[in-house]
Amino acid sequence: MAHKETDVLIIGGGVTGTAIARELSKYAVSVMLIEKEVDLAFGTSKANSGIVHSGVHDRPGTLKARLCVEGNRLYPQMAQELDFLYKNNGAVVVARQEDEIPALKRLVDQGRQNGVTGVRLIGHDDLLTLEPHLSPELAGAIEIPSGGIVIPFDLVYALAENAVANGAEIMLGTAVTAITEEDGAFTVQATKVATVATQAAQTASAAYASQAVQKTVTVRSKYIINAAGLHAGKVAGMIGDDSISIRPRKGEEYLLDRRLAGFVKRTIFPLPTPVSKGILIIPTVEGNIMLGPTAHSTDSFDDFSTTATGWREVFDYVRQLAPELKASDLITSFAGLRAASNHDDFIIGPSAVSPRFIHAAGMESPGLTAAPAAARLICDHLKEAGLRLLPKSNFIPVRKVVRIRDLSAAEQAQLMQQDAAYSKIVCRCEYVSEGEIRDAIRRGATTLDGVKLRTRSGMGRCQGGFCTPKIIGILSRELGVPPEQITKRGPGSPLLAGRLRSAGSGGGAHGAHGVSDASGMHGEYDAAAAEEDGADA
Amino acid sequence: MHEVNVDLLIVGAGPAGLAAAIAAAEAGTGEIVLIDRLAELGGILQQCIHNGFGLRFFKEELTGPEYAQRFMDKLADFPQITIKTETMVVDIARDQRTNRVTTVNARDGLVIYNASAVILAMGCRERPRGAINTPGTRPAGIYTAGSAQRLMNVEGFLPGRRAVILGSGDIGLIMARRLTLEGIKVEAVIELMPYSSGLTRNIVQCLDDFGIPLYLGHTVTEIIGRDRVEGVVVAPVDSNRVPDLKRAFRVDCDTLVLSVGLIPENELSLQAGIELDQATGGPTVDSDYQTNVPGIFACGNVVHVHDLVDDVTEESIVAGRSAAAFVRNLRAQRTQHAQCAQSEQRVQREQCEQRGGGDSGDSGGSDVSSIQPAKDAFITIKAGRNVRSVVPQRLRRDRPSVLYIRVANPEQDVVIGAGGLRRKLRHVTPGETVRLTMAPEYFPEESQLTVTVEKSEA
Amino acid sequence: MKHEITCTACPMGCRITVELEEPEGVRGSALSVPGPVPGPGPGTADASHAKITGNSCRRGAEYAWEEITAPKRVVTSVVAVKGRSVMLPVRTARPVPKQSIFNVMDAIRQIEVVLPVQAGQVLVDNIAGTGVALTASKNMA
Repeated sequence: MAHKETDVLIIGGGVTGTAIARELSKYAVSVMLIEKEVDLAFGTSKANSGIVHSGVHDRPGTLKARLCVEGNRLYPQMAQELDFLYKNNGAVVVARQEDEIPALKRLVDQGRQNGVTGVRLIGHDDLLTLEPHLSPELAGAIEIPSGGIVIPFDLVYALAENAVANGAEIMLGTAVTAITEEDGAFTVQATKVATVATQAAQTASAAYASQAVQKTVTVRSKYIINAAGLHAGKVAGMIGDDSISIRPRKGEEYLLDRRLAGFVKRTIFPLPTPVSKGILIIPTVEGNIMLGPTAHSTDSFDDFSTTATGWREVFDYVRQLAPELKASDLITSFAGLRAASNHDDFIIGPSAVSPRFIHAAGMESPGLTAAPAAARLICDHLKEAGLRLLPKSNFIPVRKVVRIRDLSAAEQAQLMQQDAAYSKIVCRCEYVSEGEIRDAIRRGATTLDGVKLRTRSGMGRCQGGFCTPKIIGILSRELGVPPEQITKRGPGSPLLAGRLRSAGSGGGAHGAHGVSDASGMHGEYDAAAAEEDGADA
Repeated sequence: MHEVNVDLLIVGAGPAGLAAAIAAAEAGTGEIVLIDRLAELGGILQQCIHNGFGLRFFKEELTGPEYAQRFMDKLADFPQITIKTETMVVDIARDQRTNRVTTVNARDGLVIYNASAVILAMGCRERPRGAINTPGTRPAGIYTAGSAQRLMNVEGFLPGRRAVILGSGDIGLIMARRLTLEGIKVEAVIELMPYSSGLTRNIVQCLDDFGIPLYLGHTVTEIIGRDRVEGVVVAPVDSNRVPDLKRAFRVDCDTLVLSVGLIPENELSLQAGIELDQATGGPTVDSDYQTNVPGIFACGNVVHVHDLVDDVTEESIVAGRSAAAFVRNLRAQRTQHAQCAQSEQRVQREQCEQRGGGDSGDSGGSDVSSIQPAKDAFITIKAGRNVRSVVPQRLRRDRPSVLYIRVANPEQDVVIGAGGLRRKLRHVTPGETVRLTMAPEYFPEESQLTVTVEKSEA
Repeated sequence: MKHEITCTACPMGCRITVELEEPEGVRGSALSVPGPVPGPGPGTADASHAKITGNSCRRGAEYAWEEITAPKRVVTSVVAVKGRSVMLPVRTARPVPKQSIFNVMDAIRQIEVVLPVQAGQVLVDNIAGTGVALTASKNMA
């Protein structure tokens, strides 16, 4: 049983939790973040639409409105500091017919009240000049220059890595089971699920190799931040706070081929509905076009399925906005669950049950946009609850990551000379090198999806057809476990069912010279050997 | 950054690239660079461990690796072929005089090859789950057939224990047998169309032999399983291929293997400004297997999906020889031009250039278009009734050509018409390419020729 | 007893019917039960007692008869390689009796090859008692 102590324990490793971790890591306090999935962002954040909203959609006077506008303004500098993918691409909200124009005007007013700048009403002709692929049937629009786009999981990893670089501790694969309070501090019980199955976890041949191994962890913390997303209600309930109830709202998203980069420049919104901002056309930072999301309440906390009706709903709708869109450009789709709560605003503040248990819950849209501002507000609440926050003099604000696809040929050549791993291209569709994959693993990825979300490998046209065996091999080598124990996203999702032959060896570098193993799946990759035999026959 | 001048650069060392390289070398091409992203030559053949290859080309029935080995062994005869494995081609840019091909590998880093001619032989990628938009979850255990094949046959891993295969083309059928032989229970093969596009021999030897049910006119309508596949829902489809969910049924499994289409891998071709044929997904080529860009040739699955590797070899030999001729002509032109440029008297220089020494005004440059035949030397092929695609899409009038024709729908007792040529066939189906040799005497006067499949009268 | 098979000798795929005189109650389809169909005489299968229809050529008749009486298949697979983790593709040099396929696979699973090997090299002379050799499909060093 592991026993840990910290000043602040953040429960939940999505965009809210990691933004708070990063903010707190600016101060001389000990910070720990605990996440039940085997990697950060594996909950709602990875399915987020990735829009940095302006604030026109939010009701004035709410935390949503205030934190959205404040958060929006923080993104450009944060993106520079933390090197995550972000673009201030702007947005338009379109009116499909004349009778929708008054609603547009109301959005302009609302935005103005919230402090959103630059929003203007534009006519049909201007709209089509700005976005020529939109339907000529559209009546008009409002243009919102402060709208932006981000890759949501990329943001989460950037925040988390910077937090860790500044002393925060992150525990993955650890689920909180009970919380008690005594002597001015909380005792949190959690169960750790092995992120990579150990040798000892291998069970009978009928079952898959990567069985979970469980271990109990106890953390003693003075303050707790409830950033548990879908499970914030359950976590609040652990201290007897029944004020939060989460009813998930599912959203399906559909991703189109990158050949459509530039099809729209701005994020295209229709008029909002009572429950959502509508089905959108979203240009991603990497050049894909994303369509969606739907918005349907569900009682299930783990239904991440896409549906035929969801697709029809999305596709039929977006074709009204942009008739040229073709189903044949679809490359993948996914679904996520929003943590919609029984409150009509963010739930940010101390629990009525205990002042040192602070909620950062119900963070549905514009939760991602608001996250950096919400993090500051949480720090204010912590101060009010008695935590002294003294700024660290040695805070490192900057975090950098290698993305060879964004480098010039000369920069790539130089990097490749320094480290040959960057010249082994693993994901051909997205141009991702072995070096970047190795780095991602060293930065915390232990699963195929963890590598994918950090590096983009597997997100292209072939959807991992070529690179998956190679990535399994690199994970196997870096983590020191056999390939059959590598999972897609944690225990329960093993990729392989075992070896074909029980005779024959793995390992044994002495036999491995000559042609190097086809994809290095078996951990025999040896940089020296590769140099020797990698080129001429 | 390193730059290297070569005569010919070949992208891909699968059966197409191998045959083209050898043919070009045999035809006298000097410096040839053969590039592949894998550690081994042979491309897809290395994972196609089953037999059935080479019946026509070698008059033997070989396995994929055996077929590849024949060509790999021959490479040793040609020291002018430099092999670069584990090397990715990142870009092909055409400038006036050469093709600038950017490559990257661990040993050499980033290298730019200036190649007088290029042969594209990149093969195909497989259509993934995301592109067919099957509803349901995203668990582990979904593999395209080629991925599963590689995992098993090269890497030595089992993808799962209980599988459903979607798609009854040859790859799906082959994998049904492969999985079964390795102790994986194949519950069913599901096929959208009312017929299988695979060879009858494969239906017999991969499904019938093992009692694996084949559901024609069905599709997978949902994937179930949060973290690992737990089952799929299968439903029959109507004549518009719309599933009838009222008759859907669940099949328990932990693995879904997808064999739902091959897509010629032409990202590089697009970067090089090459025109693609919508019907094939590959570059339009002429009877020399030259694309619309002079000096860039293409062969193999990157041009169109083949059923027989023997056809790949046949057309790749043509591509290799054509590329060799192109390089030869280019060299001759450059030599001529260099000689002309040395003439001291302007009059002599102009006369020399008029004799074919290249374009004046561009010192040292060679205009490749001047070594191309005139436009009217070609016949453009159009696809007519029941024809989905024809390769090549342009025929040179001055030589015979082999046409590879893929029909759109299965039909019995038909006549294929191409110019003056008529060929009777008992039976045509999309899964089996029709190979038609056309001699110039059958070419029409017009610059266009439509290939049709009509019902036979008799 | 009528047996119907699709010929795979050439792409035409003729549907061939083989009619044999057989005792009642015997499951004869070679396609669901591995093994030869018992012929009309005591212990022998004799083509002259069968009626073969639907074939377009002699090869089809021969294929059909063999398919019914003594079906054979080439078995291809992979074997483990000592000191390496990649697999070596292998094949039976000639077709083996269909009913021995899984015995051949059992034998293949036991093999660990020592490099180097050449394509065509015999790895096992008589695999699973079929009398047929198992050979390597590629060079591996």
